[in-house]
Amino acid sequence: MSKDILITGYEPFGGDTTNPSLELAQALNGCRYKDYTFQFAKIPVNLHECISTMEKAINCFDPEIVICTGLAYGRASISIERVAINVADFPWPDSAGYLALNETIDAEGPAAYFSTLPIRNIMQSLHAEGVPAYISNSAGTYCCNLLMYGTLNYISKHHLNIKAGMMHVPYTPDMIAGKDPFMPSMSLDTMIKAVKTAAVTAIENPEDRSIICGFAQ
Amino acid sequence: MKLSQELAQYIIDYTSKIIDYNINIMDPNAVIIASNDSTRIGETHMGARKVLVTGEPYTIDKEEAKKYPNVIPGISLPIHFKDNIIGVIGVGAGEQAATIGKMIQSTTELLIEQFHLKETLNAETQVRNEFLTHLLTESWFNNESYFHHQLKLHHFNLNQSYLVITAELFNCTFENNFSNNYESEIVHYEKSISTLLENIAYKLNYLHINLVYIPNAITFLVPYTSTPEGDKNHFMDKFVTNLDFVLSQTFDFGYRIGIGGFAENMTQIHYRYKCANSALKIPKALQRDTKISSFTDVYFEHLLFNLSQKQRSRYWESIIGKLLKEDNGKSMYLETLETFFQNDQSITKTSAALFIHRNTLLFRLNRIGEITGFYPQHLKDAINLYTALTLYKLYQFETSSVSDDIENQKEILL
Repeated sequence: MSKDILITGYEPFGGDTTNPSLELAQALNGCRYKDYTFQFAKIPVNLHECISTMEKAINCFDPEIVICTGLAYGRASISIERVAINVADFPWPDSAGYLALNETIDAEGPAAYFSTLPIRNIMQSLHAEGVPAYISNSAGTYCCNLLMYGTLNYISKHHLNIKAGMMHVPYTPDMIAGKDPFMPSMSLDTMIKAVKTAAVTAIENPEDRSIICGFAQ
Repeated sequence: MKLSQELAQYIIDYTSKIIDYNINIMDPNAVIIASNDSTRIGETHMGARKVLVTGEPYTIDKEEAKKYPNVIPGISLPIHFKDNIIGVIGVGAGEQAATIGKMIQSTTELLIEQFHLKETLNAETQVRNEFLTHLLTESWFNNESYFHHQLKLHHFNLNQSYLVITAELFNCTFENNFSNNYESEIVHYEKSISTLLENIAYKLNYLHINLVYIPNAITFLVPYTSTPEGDKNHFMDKFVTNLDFVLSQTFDFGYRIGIGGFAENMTQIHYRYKCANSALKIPKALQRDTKISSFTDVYFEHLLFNLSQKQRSRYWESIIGKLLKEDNGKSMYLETLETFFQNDQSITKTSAALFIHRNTLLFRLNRIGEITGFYPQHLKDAINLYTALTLYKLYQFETSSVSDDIENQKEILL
């Protein structure tokens, strides 16, 4: 029986007509690796719907791995997020116009959750594939952090056997062409390769190793 | 199989991406029907005439080419399909003609084989869809022999139980982005629907689920097998939750879900399909804004709708006729009554929903009792008032511009 890998991306937001996180998730939809199948879900940039959409997607697909992806303003590499914190503190309103300030995501939840993906293994695999990537120690306090926290919180509360985490991607070149000449960007193909590699690594090398300066210890 | 001009041109375009030679495809009369030099379409091809006579490849070398106008060195090869020659392919490949020609011939035959297979599968799918559409829209007992025959043909089990659900789609069109030269608009339309249904079925991931598209709605026939860990309601709730999620991910333009319930066997599918349609249409007639509704939620209203128009009018007029006159077109009492029933006769919830003080609400409810002789807080009176209100809503729906389509109204009445 086929097992599912759920990749989520966000709907276009803030005047953008596209969102590379959604495009890469859609591009991977239906792809296979061994007996795993990639599925995708579109997540609204909205405090009140973002986590509930993820919960519905988890119930629908019953995946073994969940990789949330989101767009990170100004980042030059793929960021593999280490931690999600129990805070929603929005720098700008969500798609419903809601501005969360110093809010707790779940009053009964822990202060933070660590990614259950093998983040160092993933970083090493991405480097081997020629993809610039690093481990990020902050997923911010906007919807990406909210989604990562909400996902790990749901998995933890329902005792589900799912590995989950978040990866941030930079802008695509077409999104910034003619706008900011100093804004870093990355091709969509590279992002797709990065997320696929991350999923494969989570299947093949699920136990994270301790690596210092790129060398395994 | 006849080699169509569209397929021939597709083959030319496909092979032209791989090699840079002049390629022509000829029909069994040696007439060029596709070419990467469009000016040659309609001309008779000399090499093809020879091939059609001998059945063998024919090569024209440099010397021979000089003898004829508009002829370049190359090779013409027969295109076989199931041991018949259905056309000829000519490749202007000069000295490499023999090797390149063979390769192009194989590619062409493979593409035709693939196309034929796809067409056959499409035809099978179409026959199956047609059968399922009949199963939904027509009574089993009027077409019993046809249905029995089709069940066998498509390997269905008569005694299989199915959950029947219909999703109504808003503004769903498949005519956009039509820019394909190789297929007609109708084929494109059919393929778009088929791809959409495949994607939804793939996401839902239910074994042997059947999806039937009838304009602007998709009906889901979900096989149900009782399992020790779950009952029917659990099975239905889980499916509806997943369906709602998948549809929300697929359609930006909105949808509604009508739950028809379980058909105990395949003879009941038509009835359950009608129940699903009622579950969609009755809330609309009563102006209830519900995204998901079940036939069990509207069973009572459904029974009321089956009364004759005269009976219905007589009933609501006798119960709330005076109230409507008292309201004098402002519908204050009617709105109060409706909100009171929607909030399960809760004083607190109703006053909050209407933004009025609870004493104002109590006064209005008492006044309704005085005018009509039916007091909304008493069970039996409430039933009379609720029934009258429902029938009045239906009357409004029937006489409004929305309901110009009389057929639409009839469908509500199963």
